[in-house]
Amino acid sequence: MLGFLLRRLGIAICVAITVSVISFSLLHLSGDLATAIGGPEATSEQIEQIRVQYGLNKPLPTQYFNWLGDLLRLDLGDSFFFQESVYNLVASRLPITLGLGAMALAIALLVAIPLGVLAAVKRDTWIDRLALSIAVLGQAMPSFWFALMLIVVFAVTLKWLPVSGNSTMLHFVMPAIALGYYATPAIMRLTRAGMLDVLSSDYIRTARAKGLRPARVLFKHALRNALIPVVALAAVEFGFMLGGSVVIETVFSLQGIGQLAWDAIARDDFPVVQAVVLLIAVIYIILTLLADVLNALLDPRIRVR
Amino acid sequence: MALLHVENLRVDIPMGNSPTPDDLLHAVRGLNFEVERGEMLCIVGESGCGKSLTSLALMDLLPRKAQRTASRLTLDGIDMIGQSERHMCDLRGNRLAMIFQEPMTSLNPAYSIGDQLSEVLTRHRKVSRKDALVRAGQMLEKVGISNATERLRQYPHQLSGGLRQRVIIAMALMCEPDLIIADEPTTALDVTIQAQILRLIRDIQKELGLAVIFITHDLGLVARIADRVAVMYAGEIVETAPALQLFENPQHPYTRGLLASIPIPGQTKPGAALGSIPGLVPSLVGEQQGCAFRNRCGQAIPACAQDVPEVEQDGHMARCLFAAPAPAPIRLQERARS
Repeated sequence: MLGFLLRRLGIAICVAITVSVISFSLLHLSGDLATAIGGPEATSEQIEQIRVQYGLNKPLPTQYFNWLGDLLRLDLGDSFFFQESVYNLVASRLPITLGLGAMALAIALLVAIPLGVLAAVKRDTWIDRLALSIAVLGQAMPSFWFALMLIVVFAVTLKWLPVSGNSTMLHFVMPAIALGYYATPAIMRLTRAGMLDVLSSDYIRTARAKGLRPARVLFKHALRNALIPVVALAAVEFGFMLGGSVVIETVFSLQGIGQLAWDAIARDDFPVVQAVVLLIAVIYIILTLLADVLNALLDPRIRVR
Repeated sequence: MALLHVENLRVDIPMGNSPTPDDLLHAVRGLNFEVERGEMLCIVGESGCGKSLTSLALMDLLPRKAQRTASRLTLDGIDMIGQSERHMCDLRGNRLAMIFQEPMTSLNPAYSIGDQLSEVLTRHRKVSRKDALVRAGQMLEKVGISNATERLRQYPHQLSGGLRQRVIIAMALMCEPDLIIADEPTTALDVTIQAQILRLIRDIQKELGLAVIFITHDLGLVARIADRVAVMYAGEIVETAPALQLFENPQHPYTRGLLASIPIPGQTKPGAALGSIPGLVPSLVGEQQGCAFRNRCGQAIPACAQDVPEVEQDGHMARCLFAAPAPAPIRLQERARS
């Protein structure tokens, strides 16, 4: 298990380094940074001054290592737009996005896994078909539209939940449902497929031949094996929720990472854009690592050699 | 009184999505047999003759679409036809257990050997998990697995096929059942391992006085282990007899055809063609009548197309108009004993 962990960690670090190089290169490929910082009215002397001030006159490898050094000290520079460090900016927005993502993931898993299991057990019945229909509907419905419908029903008509903002937990309920609903169909379908596969396997027949009760066969012997592929998918979906919640954050006016990234792109606020890109990449790396570890815990074939 | 009574056991499988009675596949057609305590009954037959479905029908573990009926199915006087699923769960693994054909896939990859073994006991007996593990270790030793305590902690993927089959046998023995159904337990194994596993099953059966239904297509193997043999063809038992009787005095043309197709060391000349049965197994879809073997039988007469009665004498039954079972000559019995 320790060897496995170290191997995975090594891979994760390699990926992180690659991401940092790509992220750095992209920024420098996107045009002359000094001109961009200076803006359209800057004189060539001012641009030259900016170039020196930001170290943009040095060779690229030097710039990369300086930047990497700053990065490791969590010094991400200052935002061009807000006179504030990028670190503070991101740190203040991250909890909102993480909280929203975690709630959305919880909702998605709590709906998708039981529904997937139920659909597999009741295969070819109306329950199965209903579950699959919901999945198709979920995949076909744009999330902003679903979010607006939620607002119309629960905030405007029923007045149960606040329309927008992030001051209380209640403000997160609708966004989390809207975001979670988006990930539900894929997880449900994979759970159903996994369960169908496992339920027809020889070891399930063995478990039944032992006289185990149906619930135990289902939840001890079948579900654990069926969930192995679901873990990896859930990790990717979670990453997607964290990185791709711009639409939902906009609809519900949540000041999260997605909003920050969106605004920063519109304002050519490169340090912020770069920080968000890096952050999301790191989040993906961590999630992949977590999924690997979880899979190893579920499946001894990975863990024990 | 026999331990297991089976009367008129049938398994029907609907074909297609909206089956009419004509679309029923009559996979198992009215089996009658009994198994005594301490007896090894071998059911032999070719692929698709319904022998595996018979074993699953006895366990009530048939695939979803298959329908099981029987006029009587009792184990030690307990009716197994009208039982609720809940009561069948109490019997399975406890009073009757099963050994499967595929050791490589019959154990759950996610749980340790100890967990999967002890689970049988904690399910059916009031024992702690710890005591169940001790018992699991003893069972592993009984089936010839050394350093059992270490094996208990291992996972199926760390074990070879032969070891896994031993684990599955140990699993079947956990609650000391009355009856074990072994469905081709050696087919998926190497020849040397086959012999070991076969000896193991035979030894344990003798030692514990178990009743075993051993399902196989290998007549050579039957000759070595069976007390009694039932030959299945196209979903029916066409002949049953004490093992010796069957080999010395086969009555059904199908049994004779099977026996003729086995090479005998010292008698079969190298290069000589082995016996074979011409023709193909009939389709079992739709209503069946008459002897299913008649299209391949050299002796068939028009009356074979009518219902063929079972002819029985001294425990030797054959479903054939030409059957005349007689006790094997004493000379042959003595030869077999020596």
